[in-house]
This record gives sequence, C-alpha cells and structure tokens, in this order.
Amino acid sequence: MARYPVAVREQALRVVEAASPVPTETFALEVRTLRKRMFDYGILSLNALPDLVFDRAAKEGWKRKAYGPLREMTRVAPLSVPLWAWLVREDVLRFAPDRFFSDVGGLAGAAREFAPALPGYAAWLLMLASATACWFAAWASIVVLLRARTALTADLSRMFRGFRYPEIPAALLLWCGFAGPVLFGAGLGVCAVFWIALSAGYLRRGELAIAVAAILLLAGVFFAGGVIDLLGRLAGGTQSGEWFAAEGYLPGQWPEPPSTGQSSRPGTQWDGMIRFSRARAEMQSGNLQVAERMWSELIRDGREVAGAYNNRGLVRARLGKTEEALSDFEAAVGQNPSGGPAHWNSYQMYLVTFRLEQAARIQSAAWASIGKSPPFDFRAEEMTHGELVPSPLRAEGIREKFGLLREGGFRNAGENPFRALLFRFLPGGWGPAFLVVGCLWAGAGRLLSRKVWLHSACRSCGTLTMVARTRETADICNSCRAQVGRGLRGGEERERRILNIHLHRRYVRACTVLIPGSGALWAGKDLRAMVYGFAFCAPLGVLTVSLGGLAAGRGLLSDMQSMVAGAAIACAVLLWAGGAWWGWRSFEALQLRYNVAEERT
Amino acid sequence: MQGKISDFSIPEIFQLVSSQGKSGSLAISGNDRITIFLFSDGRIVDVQPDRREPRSLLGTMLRDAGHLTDSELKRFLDAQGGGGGKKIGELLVEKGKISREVLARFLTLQVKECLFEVLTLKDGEYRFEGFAVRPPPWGGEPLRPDVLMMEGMQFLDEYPMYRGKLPPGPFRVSRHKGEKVDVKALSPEEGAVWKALEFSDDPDRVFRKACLTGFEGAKGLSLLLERGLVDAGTVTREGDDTALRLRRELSVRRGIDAGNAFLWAVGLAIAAAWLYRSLLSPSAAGIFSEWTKFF
Repeated sequence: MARYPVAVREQALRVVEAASPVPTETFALEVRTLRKRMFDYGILSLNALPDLVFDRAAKEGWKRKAYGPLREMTRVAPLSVPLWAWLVREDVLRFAPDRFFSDVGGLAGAAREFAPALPGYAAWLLMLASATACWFAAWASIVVLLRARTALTADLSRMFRGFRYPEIPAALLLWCGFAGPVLFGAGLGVCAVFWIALSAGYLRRGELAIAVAAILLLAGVFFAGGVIDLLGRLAGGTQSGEWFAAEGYLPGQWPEPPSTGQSSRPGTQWDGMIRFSRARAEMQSGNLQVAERMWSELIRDGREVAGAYNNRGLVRARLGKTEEALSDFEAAVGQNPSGGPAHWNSYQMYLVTFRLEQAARIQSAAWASIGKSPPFDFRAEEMTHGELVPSPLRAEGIREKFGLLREGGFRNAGENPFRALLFRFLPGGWGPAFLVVGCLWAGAGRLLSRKVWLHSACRSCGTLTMVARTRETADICNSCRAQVGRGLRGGEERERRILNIHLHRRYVRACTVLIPGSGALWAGKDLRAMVYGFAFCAPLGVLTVSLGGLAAGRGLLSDMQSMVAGAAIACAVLLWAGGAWWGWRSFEALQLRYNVAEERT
Repeated sequence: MQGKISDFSIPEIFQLVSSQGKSGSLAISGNDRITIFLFSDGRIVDVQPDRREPRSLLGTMLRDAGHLTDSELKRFLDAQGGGGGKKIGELLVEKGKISREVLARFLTLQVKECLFEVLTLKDGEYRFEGFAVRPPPWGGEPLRPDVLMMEGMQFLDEYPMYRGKLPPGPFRVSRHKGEKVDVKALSPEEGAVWKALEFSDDPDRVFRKACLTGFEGAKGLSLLLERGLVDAGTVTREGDDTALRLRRELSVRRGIDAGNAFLWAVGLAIAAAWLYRSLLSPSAAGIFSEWTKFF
C-alpha cells in the first residue's frame, strides 16, 4: 500500500480499521469513500486490501466471520483473484448458489481482465509443471532402478567372483549407488539421472521412454527455473516503482485528482435515453448483433453519438472486429476530445493490437479519462460488458520487460531457484551438461546391452538369464513361456525355482506398494504406467506448490492453499492406493498367465 | 489290554487285534518313541508316529517326495493349528495340493514305515484301548495287519542282505551315464526307483519320490546296482550331501533376500526423507512460492 497516493492509503487503512464481523454502516461508508478516492486517481482495484482485512480478522479471531466485510471489499478490489476465489469457496461451504454464480463470474472476470496477473498464472503454471516434473523424475528413476535391480545385482556380482556369496557385496554396492548420492546430499536431478543411467541397459523400450521422459522433464524444469527467476524479479520490481505484480501498474507519479465533480452523461430527450438504455441492455445480455445494429441506428440519428460510438466499439471488440472497434473508439474520442471512457478503450485496443507507440502517446489522456468517468459499480466480470476495458499495463514497461525476458531468461538459467534443488554441488552451468552426459551414458548402456552379455530377469518368475539383445525378447524366461509353472521334474531345480518365484513375487509386491504403479512395469504395461506416473505426480505437484502458497503466509491465499493442500493429499493417497492395487493385480494377472501364481499349479 | 513286548511279541499283538476284529488304538512304546496305530474292525486305518521322529511324519514325507516345499509345509502346518483340528493330509487334499490317491499311497507308506520300525523293537510296552473308530473319508482302504506282518517279516529277514549290497553309511546314487532301460523289464521296485532317480541323488528322497519303504527302496536299488544301471558312492564330506547343501543354499538365499529387503527398505526411507526435504519441506516451499507475489 505504500506506493499509493496518501489520500487513498489513509482511507484504505480507515477501511481496515472499520472492518468488523458484522458489517456496519460506518464500514460501508468508509468503503464508498475509498472507492471515490480511488477513482479520483484512476485506481480500479486495491488488491492488497482484502488481505489486510483478512489478516486483521485472523489476528482478532473472526476469520470465519469475515465473509461480510470481504464481500464489501469487492467494491474496492474487484480485480483481486484471491478475493473472488475465497468468496466462491465460502459460497460453496455456505451453500449459497445465488451468490456462487455471481462470484464465479467475478472470479472469471478478474482472472480474464487483470493483465498483471497473467505472469502470476504463468509462474503458477510453471511452478506446478516443475513440481510435477520433479516428482515424476523421482518416481520414474526409482521405479526403473527397482525394475532393473535384480539383473543389475547379478551383473555386479560378476565382479566379486572370489567371494563365497558374490551377490552380497554386489547388493551392497548397488545399494550404495542408490542411497549414496542421496546421503551425500546431491540434487534431485543428479540422483535421478544417475539412477536412470545405471538402469538403462536393463530396460525395455517402454521403460526407457519413461526414463527419457524424466530426463527431458528435468531439463525443462531447469530452463523453466530461469523464466521463474525472471518473473520473480519482475514481481519484486513492484517495490521499486515499476509496473508488475499484485497491484498492477503503480506509476512513479500519480495524476492530480479532478477538481470538479462527476460529469454526467449527456442526453436530453427521453426517446434517446430509452433507446440508449435498450441498446445497453442488449449489449450486456450478450445480444451483440442486435446491440451493434441499435448503436448504429443511434449514431445515424445523431443521438448520444460519443457514447454510442464507444459502446458500438465495445460490441465490435467483443465480436472480434478489432479494427472497426478501434475506429469507433477514435470516432468517440473525436466526438468528445475532453475525456470519457473512449480514451481508455482506444488505449487498450492499441495495447491489444500491439501498437505500443500509439498506446504510449495517448496513455496520459487515457489515465486522465478514468478519473473523470462516473464511479459506476465496477465488477470485473462486467467490465467487458460495460464501458471500460480495464488493464493497467504500461506499454513501455511491457516492451522493456519482455526484452529482458528474451535476453535474460536462458542466460540466467544457471542461477535459477531450481539449480540447488536439481544440481546441488554442481557449478552453475554444469546442469545441462550433466543431463546430456546422463543421456549419453544411458544411450551407451542401452547400445552396449545389445552386444555385451548381461543378465535379464524374467518379469514373471524372476529367473535370471544372460542375454545380448533387446530385452523384450528375453524378459520372459523359457519355463514361463512354456507355462510349466512349478512343474519342473528335477527336485533341486524345482525347489530353486519355487523359491525364486516366491522371492520375486514378494519383491514385486513390496515395490508396487511402496512405489505405486511399479508393479505394472513387470506386467509389461510400460506406457500406461507412465500415464499413471503423471497422474500420481500431478497432485503431489499441486501439494508442493500449495505448500509454497502456505509458506508465503499471505491472508486469503494461505487460507485457500491449506484447503488445496488437503485436497491434493487426499488425491495423492487415493492414487497411491489405486496404483498399488493396479500394479499388484497386473502382476498377479501376468503370473497367472504364465502359470506361476498361487492359484494354478 | 497292556503289557511288555518281551512277554507278548508285536506280531502276536497285531494278529490278536486283527483276528478279533477290534476297533481302537494300539500304542507301542520303545526306544523313547511312542507309535499309535488306529484299528477299525481289526484293520489298520491310520497311524500317529512319534512327533520326535519327523521323517515318519506325513508332511515331511510329502516334502521329501517333492509334493510340498519347505515354505508350503510350514504354511500348512500353521493353517493346521487354526484349522479346527484337521489333519494335514485332509488339509492338503482340500486345498488341492495333492490328490486323494497320492494321500492314500503316502498314508499306506507311513503305516508300513511305522510298522517296520516297531518290528525292530526288542524291548518296550504296548497298550490297546478299545473304542469305535471310523475310517477317515480322506484316507485309503484299511490295511490288513496280517498282510503287513508278512511284509514286515520279509523286511526283517531280507533288509540286512539288500542294505549290505549298498555302500555303508550315507551314500549317493545316480543313473549310470548313457544307460537306456526298458522299465517294463524291471521289477516294480526297480522301476519305481529308476524313475525316481531323476528326482534326486539322495536315496532317502528317491525312495520317498517312488513312494517305497526303506526296505522296498533298498531292495530295488541294490538290484539296479547289481545290473550295473546305477552308480552309488559314499558321502565323504558334508558338502557332498546334496539335500543338506540345497537346504543351506535355499536358506542362504532367503537370508540374502531378507537382508536385501531390509537394505532397500532403509534406502527407500532415506529417499522418502530426501524427497520430503527436496519438495515438501519449508525450504522447498520457499522455492515454489514465487507465484504468490503476483496475487
């Protein structure tokens, strides 16, 4: 609030002080006064104000009774997405369908119309995608390592032929390969790529696709980190008098408030007023063609010409006739050069069509016109149906910042916030190189496995065989293909096979319970397992991002994120249970097919 | 009816119970072992070997014959505890692990083994208690004691001779390499032993697989040895005992697997803590909170 004009800031603080669980006339009066002061300076929305009121409510213990005062806040913060979202949630909890639809409209309008929030949505989406990708990479790398573990241990044991039980040092060595990087504190990306590279030679094509997807996603996360870093710096720019972040454009110097009172809409004849009202009603109810015809008739008859031009421009803008809309706004400005909403709207149309120089030229006049406009009720959802196209962006700011984005986005990727998360202990620029080396290592392992004799564990019974070709041809052993089950004739061999089947089943079941969906890999459902992996990691990603929202500790946002986090945990638990069940059943079905399950002998 | 074996020999006791068509239990104790035979109308319907002699227990016999694994046997014995007093043979047939025919053959084998065992007793006691005994539905045909006694007498007479033809002490047998045999030309005991030789080289397990008593097995094996169809060698080292070696090997594998399971459980717990620290802890949440600055 510090960068708002003193009159607005002081009035806003009075509003916060007047807020109480029961809405009072004093509070409503203070809100109306604030709204008038805001419009004097062309301020459409004070987005920080609902948070201040909510924080006070939380501090004084009437957080759950803040619905009334916060609803009143929609008059002075119509572009606050968290406010509308909070109201929607409360409508659902209070079962108020009449207000629910109205508030959903407000939320949609705020989300659509408040342009500075766009980078916020972008940042949220990037964060969500990044968090989901990180979870997926962790899930995928652990799953493929567990899938390859049996054959990998057998191959490692070839290094310890002098030992009485070579599988013991081999198992320890592999375990160190798994837990070592984690205990050493390496980043998520380092561990995941290392595990994938270890397993690559033992994977089927579908499993390899999962592993490659994980590495590519990690690369995506790394570069997304650069963009998020830049967006973060843009958000931080609010404090230094720039244009982005939650409060939108905060100019370095505010315009003078208008010395005269409100201007009233011209119009002397009842007939003209009635036709104007009807056309406006048609426009607001969405009958755009009818409204356009009525506005054209009013223009032709010479009634309310400036307003009619402006409104026809709005209708045409909504119909997608951008050029015609712009000429209508310009005509409206020509009819009423002293001010009015048409200035603002033509300014916005210039921005929409990226005529940034023309937008910059009329920017001051556009801002001045806001102050002179009548203070009708703003609701973000209605702004496209009304007489203003709100978007407090400054053309120069957009150009400068996007220029920075192009230049600095990838350059700064090495310094992004995800670097420590992914590549801890690696120097800044080594992350991408490490990913490339990991990919090359995995590819080399894959190619070598076609020439070098390596172990392959039967997916069904766990029997180890040595193969030097694609895994798909040898991942079911001959005994399973022949469906002999346990019916080997030789006594000792039969006992070994039975024990093998038993241990393998126990291992796969443990894997699928601890790492849900992994059992499906043994069942050969590689791509479906990958889809499940994404589905499972999505709520975990939501959880991570919502915990970030909670950590930010901002009133309404934190309050809502706690609910999102709860829902994400519930979804993740359900998906975990579902994935474990699916993997278990898939593996059982596989064993039944090859006659090594309990049910058939 | 009770008394000492030295006063009233075992064949005489069996003959008495059989000729009078008695029903009840005949407990014979000696050499610190008690074996109980159940009679129904003078015929043997079941036997309860001494628990301290696991070789004669039905589950062990079926395991040695390859019809059950160690773990399955353990599971069925556990299930037997909570199975309302059902006998293991009944449980195995119910669960479809073995057929009624196999069970009947092994019950007969068990009765024979126990009877031959008690025939060797020189000193001990017997006790007969009369009560109604209904033959179990899952058992085979009741056995005539007089027929078994004749086999038993033959065992007492001939077993030392056949055993003497085999290597002394523990030994291993295997088919002579390259021998082609027409099984129909062999005696029933020889044929059964010959077929079972592909199952194991441990003679006890071979006899179990062939469902023969030790006496029948020794007879068949010695005849095969005389024909030069099999090779027999003495076990000189403990490691040559393949059965023991197999048990140890399986036990070691189980142990290694359990250790592996423990290691990987610890590893996954470490990974879970690491994932929490990376993606859910307050420090990670700080990284993922940039977006809130825009709202």
